[in-house]
Amino acid sequence: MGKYTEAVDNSEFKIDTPMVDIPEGKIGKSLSRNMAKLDRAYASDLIKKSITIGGKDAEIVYILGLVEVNYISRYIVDPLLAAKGKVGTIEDIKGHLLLPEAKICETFSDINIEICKGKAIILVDGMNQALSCSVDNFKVRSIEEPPNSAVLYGPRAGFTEDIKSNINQIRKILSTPHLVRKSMKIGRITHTDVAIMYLDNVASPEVVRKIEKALLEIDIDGVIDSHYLTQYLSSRKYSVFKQVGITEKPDIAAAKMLEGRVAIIVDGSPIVLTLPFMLIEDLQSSNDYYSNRQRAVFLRVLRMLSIVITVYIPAMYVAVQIYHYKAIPLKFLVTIINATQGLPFTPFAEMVFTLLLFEILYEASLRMPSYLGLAMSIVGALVLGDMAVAAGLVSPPAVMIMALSGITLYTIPHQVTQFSLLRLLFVAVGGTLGFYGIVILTIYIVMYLCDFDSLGTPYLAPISPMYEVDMKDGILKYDISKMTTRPRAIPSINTRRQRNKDNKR
Amino acid sequence: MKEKISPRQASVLIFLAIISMKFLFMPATMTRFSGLDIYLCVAFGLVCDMLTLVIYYYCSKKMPDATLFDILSRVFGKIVTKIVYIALAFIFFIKAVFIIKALHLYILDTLYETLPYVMYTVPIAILIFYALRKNLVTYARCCEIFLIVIALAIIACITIPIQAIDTLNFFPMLKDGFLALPRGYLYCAYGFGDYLVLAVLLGHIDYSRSKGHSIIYISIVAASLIVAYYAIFVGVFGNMGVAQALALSDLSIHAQLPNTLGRLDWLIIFLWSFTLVLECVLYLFYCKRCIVAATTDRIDKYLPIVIITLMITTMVILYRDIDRVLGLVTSTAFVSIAFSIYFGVPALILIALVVGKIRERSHERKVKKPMRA
Repeated sequence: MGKYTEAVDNSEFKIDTPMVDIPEGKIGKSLSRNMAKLDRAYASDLIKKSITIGGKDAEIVYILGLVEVNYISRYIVDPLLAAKGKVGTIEDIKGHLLLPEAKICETFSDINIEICKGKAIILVDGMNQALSCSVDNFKVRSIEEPPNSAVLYGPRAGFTEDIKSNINQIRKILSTPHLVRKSMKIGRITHTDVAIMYLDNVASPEVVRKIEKALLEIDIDGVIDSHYLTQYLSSRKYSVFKQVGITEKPDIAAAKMLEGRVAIIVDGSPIVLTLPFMLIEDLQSSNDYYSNRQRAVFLRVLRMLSIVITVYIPAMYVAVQIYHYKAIPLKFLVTIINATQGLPFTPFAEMVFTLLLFEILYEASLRMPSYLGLAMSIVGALVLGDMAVAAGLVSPPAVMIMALSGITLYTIPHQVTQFSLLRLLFVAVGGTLGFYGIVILTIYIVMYLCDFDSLGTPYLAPISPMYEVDMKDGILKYDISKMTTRPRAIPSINTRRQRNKDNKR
Repeated sequence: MKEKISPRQASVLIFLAIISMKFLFMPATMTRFSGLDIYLCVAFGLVCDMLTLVIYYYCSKKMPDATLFDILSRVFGKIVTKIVYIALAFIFFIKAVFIIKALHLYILDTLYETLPYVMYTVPIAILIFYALRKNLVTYARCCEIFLIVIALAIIACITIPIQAIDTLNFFPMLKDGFLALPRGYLYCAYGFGDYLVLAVLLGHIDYSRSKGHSIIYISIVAASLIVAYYAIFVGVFGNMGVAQALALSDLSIHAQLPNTLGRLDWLIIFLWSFTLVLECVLYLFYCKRCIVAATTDRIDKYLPIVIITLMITTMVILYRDIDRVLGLVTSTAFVSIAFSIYFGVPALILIALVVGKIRERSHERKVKKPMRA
């Protein structure tokens, strides 16, 4: 039987706050000394509850606001007060708790991390260990459809900022004991929870090992979002091309894991990373799998065509105007000449100006308050575009080409950054060297892309190297029943997905 | 670890080698020696080349892990092998020089009114320097991607001028006798010897997942396309073919179809520019590999790259006139060297295989004898 009192430390806020004395080292056996150390570190934030457990003095400490106080009474205090029998070790105390998750801490560093993560710590006099109890009360966003991955048909659930919720969403889909989760903390200050998830009977152990190694080698003060890790997981650190897959939806993450990929989930981020990554992944949409096969193929081809239009059309327009006007049919040439007459800019400068205008509008629309969105689109698209033409700054064909290129760019939302930069580069080369420059740059880029692998998976697979089997879900999209194997391009220890026609595994 | 490419990728590289030199200047040059029978002449040349394909293919299947260096050095020693590699490097380099010059003339003729020489040389030199640092696997993958572009280019330039064909141009056949065929083949030596590429690829083709028949099939397809192209050239131009140095652009301009459908000739030009740049880079890559093999990796890895880039740039600057390059590659000296390499290398491989087999048998006999005793 124990007694229970509560004390809140209300020490005054000081302007010249000295550097906090962070407790370090092993937890001592003296409760008063341990508490004094924690007091010095957390001062006013720390809430302490004194309790007697099995005749021993104990303290439950936590930070106000981070924990659910009701949970402390219900799942910690009440069971401990009612505890009968021996409470000699911290393990005994743990056994009396009604919490599913409690962790034993040996050092003050562990306590520091746990306390900041919203855990309640139980310190007992005479014990050189503490118990971290999971009673955190972080408000998490409810599961919603992610704005960038909307689907017409199919699951609408998206990841949230809570790692537990994200892990559970994946677990709900991949209900198998083969689903492995490895957890780690990254960030010297943030101690961000990071989980690696994969199917151990599918994913290549070599890939998992490489990812683990890359993550364990990270020594950074903080990881705020999963994008922080992409740099460390990329084989070419300075490349403009994306090398890590991202998804906001558990169904996509699960589907990728079924293909042998590994998912990396970061606490605080609704974006889950997947590896290995192939460029073609971004040409595929989850909609493809939930709609008609022929339609899916058509849309994939359309997306590929969109890339070509996005990157090449502005550059070609500039090149044709400067060097290859003979290539334009006569009637169209006359139209262009009429439209561009009296412009103050060269075709190259005109296109760069229009491109930059578009990029500025895009950037501004992202940052602008949502209530200004409509006004912004009117000002940006109509007034600026129309007035620029009327003022004789840009020609109507240039605006039209820019608009076309701008729209097609967003058919592949995950590749916007890369292709918008490439577009600028191609315009620059098209303007200085014409078609010849475009040809040279294309070969350069293709060669560059052919040269790199993402954890053993060729970046341009299954087109190059050509994997016939993988083409069933490459540019083409076969019926699910025909996809009997996992992608060959992705290292895997189990290549077969389903029985084939002959009922063989 | 050796770089391994799939038989499919090897086929694509061979396909590129076969079509590389034959589409631009060769029809006109060949017309000079073989008249209106150039399509028969090119067919004759392709069949002769295929004889060497048989040897390379057999060798590559028989010893999938043995490179040309391994095969030759075992029998002829390292010095002879290195000489062979230097000869191969020379041939590949000359082919690259020819293509780079042809490309210059081609784009000047079709794409630009004027293009300063620096603006042509510097971008391609940068690309060459970058590309030469890559490995065989990267090239194979790259060519796999561009195969679609190249196939489109060939199909376009065969189908578009089809309406302009005059069938009377094909007759009389073999007007200058059968000898006109080997004559054209001999003087257009620079455009043949395509399977030398396989000599460089020996030991680098992975047959574990495929039997590699695609190499044979693609050679036949490429040969058929070339013969068809030459037939169309004769059909469209007839005796005027001698004057059509830039066969590709001339064909597309003369064709009726582009004028009715729009400027399809520009599509051909654009697609062919890709093909030519890629082929030039490929030949220089083979050249680099041969130099590296000849020096048995003893030199710094960047040295051959720098040397080749500088040499090709110098050649482009020095040989501004394509006729000088054409004169060089159709000279008796070059023809003799070229043919001795085209057929000498496979002959050496054949000898090495036979000698190797004999040695193996005698070794087996020696091993067996004491067992019997």
